[in-house]
Amino acid sequence: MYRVVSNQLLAPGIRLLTVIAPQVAAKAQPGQFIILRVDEKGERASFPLVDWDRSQGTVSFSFQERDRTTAKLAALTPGASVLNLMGPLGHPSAIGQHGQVLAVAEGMGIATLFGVARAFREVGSQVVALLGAAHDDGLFWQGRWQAISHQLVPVTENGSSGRQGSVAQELGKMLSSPEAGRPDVVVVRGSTPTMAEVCEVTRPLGIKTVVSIHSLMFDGFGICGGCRITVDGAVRLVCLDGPDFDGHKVDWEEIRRREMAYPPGLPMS
Amino acid sequence: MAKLNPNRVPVAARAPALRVKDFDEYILGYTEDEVRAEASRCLQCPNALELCRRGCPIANEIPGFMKAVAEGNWEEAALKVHLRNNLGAVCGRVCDQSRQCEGSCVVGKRGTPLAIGLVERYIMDWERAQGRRAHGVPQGMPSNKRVAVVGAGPAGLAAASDLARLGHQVTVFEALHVAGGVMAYGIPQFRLPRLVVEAEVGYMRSLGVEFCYDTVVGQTIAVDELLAGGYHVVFLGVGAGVPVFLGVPGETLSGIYSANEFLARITMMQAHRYPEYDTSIYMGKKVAVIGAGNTAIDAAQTALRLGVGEVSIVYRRSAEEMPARKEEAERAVEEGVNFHWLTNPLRFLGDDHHGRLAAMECIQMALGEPDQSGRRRPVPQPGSEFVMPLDNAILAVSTIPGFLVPRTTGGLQVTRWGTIVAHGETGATDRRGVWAGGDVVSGPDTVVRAIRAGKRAAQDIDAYLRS
Ligand SMILES: Cc1cc2nc3c(=O)[nH]c(=O)nc-3n(C[C@H](O)[C@H](O)[C@H](O)COP(=O)(O)OP(=O)(O)OC[C@H]3O[C@@H](n4cnc5c(N)ncnc54)[C@H](O)[C@@H]3O)c2cc1C
Ligand SMILES: Cc1cc2nc3c(=O)[nH]c(=O)nc-3n(C[C@H](O)[C@H](O)[C@H](O)COP(=O)(O)OP(=O)(O)OC[C@H]3O[C@@H](n4cnc5c(N)ncnc54)[C@H](O)[C@@H]3O)c2cc1C
Ligand code: SF4
Ligand code: SF4
Ligand code: FES
Repeated sequence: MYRVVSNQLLAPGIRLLTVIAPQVAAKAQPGQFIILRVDEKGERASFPLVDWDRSQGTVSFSFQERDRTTAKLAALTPGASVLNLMGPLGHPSAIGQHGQVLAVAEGMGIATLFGVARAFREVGSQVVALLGAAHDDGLFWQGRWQAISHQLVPVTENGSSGRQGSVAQELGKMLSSPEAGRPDVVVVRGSTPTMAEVCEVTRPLGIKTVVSIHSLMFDGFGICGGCRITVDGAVRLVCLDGPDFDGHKVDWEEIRRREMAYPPGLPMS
Repeated sequence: MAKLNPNRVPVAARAPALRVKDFDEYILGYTEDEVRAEASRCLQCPNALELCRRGCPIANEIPGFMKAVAEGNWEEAALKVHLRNNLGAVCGRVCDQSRQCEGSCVVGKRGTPLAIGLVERYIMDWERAQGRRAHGVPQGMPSNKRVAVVGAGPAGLAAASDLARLGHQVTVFEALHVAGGVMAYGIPQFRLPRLVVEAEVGYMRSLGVEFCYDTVVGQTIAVDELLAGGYHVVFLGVGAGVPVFLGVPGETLSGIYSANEFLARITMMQAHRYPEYDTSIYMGKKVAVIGAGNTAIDAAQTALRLGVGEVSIVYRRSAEEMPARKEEAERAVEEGVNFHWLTNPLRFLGDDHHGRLAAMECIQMALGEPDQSGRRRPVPQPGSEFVMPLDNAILAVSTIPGFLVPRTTGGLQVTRWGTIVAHGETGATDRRGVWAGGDVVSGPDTVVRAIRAGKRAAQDIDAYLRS
């Protein structure tokens, strides 16, 4: 049993759950994920780690309310618990010594990319942050990002805050403007279509782009093969080989299709 | 000595048309009268160690428990099983008896061999129904030494329970949320009910074994950290659970599962009881299982129980070379599974809209010269390609060990198949203080041989800890 410490609403539909899991907290690093099972009848589902506190023995992960499991998670109050929680899983994000890192985050990615961007900042990189959401109420944690960023560019689809458009569109503009420095690496967290679009912006420019894939996970240590994707023509397991991959080598169309493998409410047989 | 009755007491099984409607066990097991009649057929061979006990990888006390059962001395029978077997109720159900104990029973020369598995199962089921466990198994002096067992499959459970009895403090670290390994996530409930495995694990807990779930060794904690953090010895029983794919085009289409994923969603997560349980699985009307091992048969029978219209097994060799047990294959046929022999998938084809599986292109094979395995090599027949419309494909071609533990443990030697190199008799690895056994050493094998590996390692570890 893993006791819930807090369950915070970050933005409409996006939550941050903090639970006591000392063995995960002790090892967690930016870019890793966990797998949990809420209760006896629950499914195994994976979630990206956002933060951890080794001294308190807590870990925080974010989720979007969209199915049975995340509805159960959304309803958990402090003192309640999740039955199983396993991790940290996957490789930590590679935090190389780059001059400039362009961090592109959309929606829940604003939470999950934060620890990665902070780690880059800690090794001396200059962080430029491009953060997007549908409306201004989706742009959370602006202060935190401000504190670690050299430059912060907010974008909303309806233009209610910051510039208007998508992060991919804005990225295109930024990279084509002569005054902007050229980033050494672009790191992206967002929905599958957003990450795919961002990769199409950076591909012709030859800028290395690292994405974090969230394919359907079951066990998280290589047993089911269900998280397999094609990278550079070869089959890779997201849980063991990822979750970070070179976005220019990922077969995005295939990932989009595999995300439809279990549409919610699909009947059996 | 009893006079020889050549014929085995038949065991009741549920009719195929009924049993495919649920996941309940379908070999019903003996009644008390039947099991005593069957056990009375045992000749109590003085040289049993060269007969039935030799066929059994753990040399079970077969004549001993046969005699006790014939006399209706159940406590005694249970003790005899416990002396050798940590998972008697499991082995009685899932061992390949015709190639092991029963295949070596002398009665088999003139009639049907003793139903050793069914008798062992009856004894253990009796004991579970009593809610108690045979005591009187020899116990060791407390050693105050701590052992970490990694993986709660049959190898790890056997090592853990023997080490606990020998007087050591044992903690089992398991990645999943349940103990049992393949017994908990792979073997279907209609062959091995969950309650049976749960009872075995409960018994091990009563011996003092502690279980830490949700712990992926190599991620959550490393072997080196266990050794540095107070464990004197580590036993690795992490199995060979990583599925091998065919490497043909279209393999990542949705609707294609590894047998592991398919079976685990059902056996472990109860997806057939969706929406009562949250885990789901989408199955269409036509399903092909690729491969013809026991895993393939289990997957095919499981698919039938989900109400799939047509289930086929597609195998590149012929019935002769099939690795599955003949009896298992016969039961699948009884239930309505089709077999396509000498057929190999070339690629999977998706539908136009969602990239779901729609069909599988296959080629006919013929048997050529024998290969390294001694079986005739399947050779593709050009021009014989054909397309099989399909909603789901389940790949049951093979599994290999994962690399998490070897990658994060200094000093272990690994073969090119990913198996850990360990001493054949003792399970000792090249790393001091680390033992390994079961599928992670042998490659995919059987429950009873994983138990043997765990027991042998426990003996060697005990000697090491007390020296
Ligand atoms: C579908 C199927 C049907 C089978 N039917 C039969 C049968 O009828 N009869 C028979 O004798 N054999 C059968 N087998 C084979 C048998 O199940 C295996 O040989 C046996 O389970 C091997 O035992 P093990 O303890 O070595 O490994 P496993 O049973 O694989 O157990 C390994 C355990 O280690 C855990 N683990 C793995 N990695 C880690 C890690 N890094 N950290 C922590 N824990 C980890 C796993 O989660 C698992 O619980 C079948 C196998 C399958 C797949
Ligand atoms: C962990 C491990 C350790 C090994 N160690 C050794 C070793 O020490 N020495 C050694 O010589 N070899 C070793 N091997 C190789 C192994 O023995 C076989 O050679 C290999 O698995 C291929 O088997 P096979 O061609 O006999 O296939 P089969 O026995 O015919 O198949 C095995 C299973 O895979 C299915 N299958 C495989 N390919 C196909 C296909 N294309 N189409 C349909 N079904 C298919 C079969 O139906 C069956 O279920 C090891 C393999 C593993 C996984
Ligand atoms: S453990 Fe398996 S092989 Fe040994 S006697 Fe029991 S059923 Fe037979
Ligand atoms: S070989 Fe058969 S008859 Fe002889 S002791 Fe073993 S089970 Fe009994
Ligand atoms: S989640 Fe099962 S193999 Fe990756």
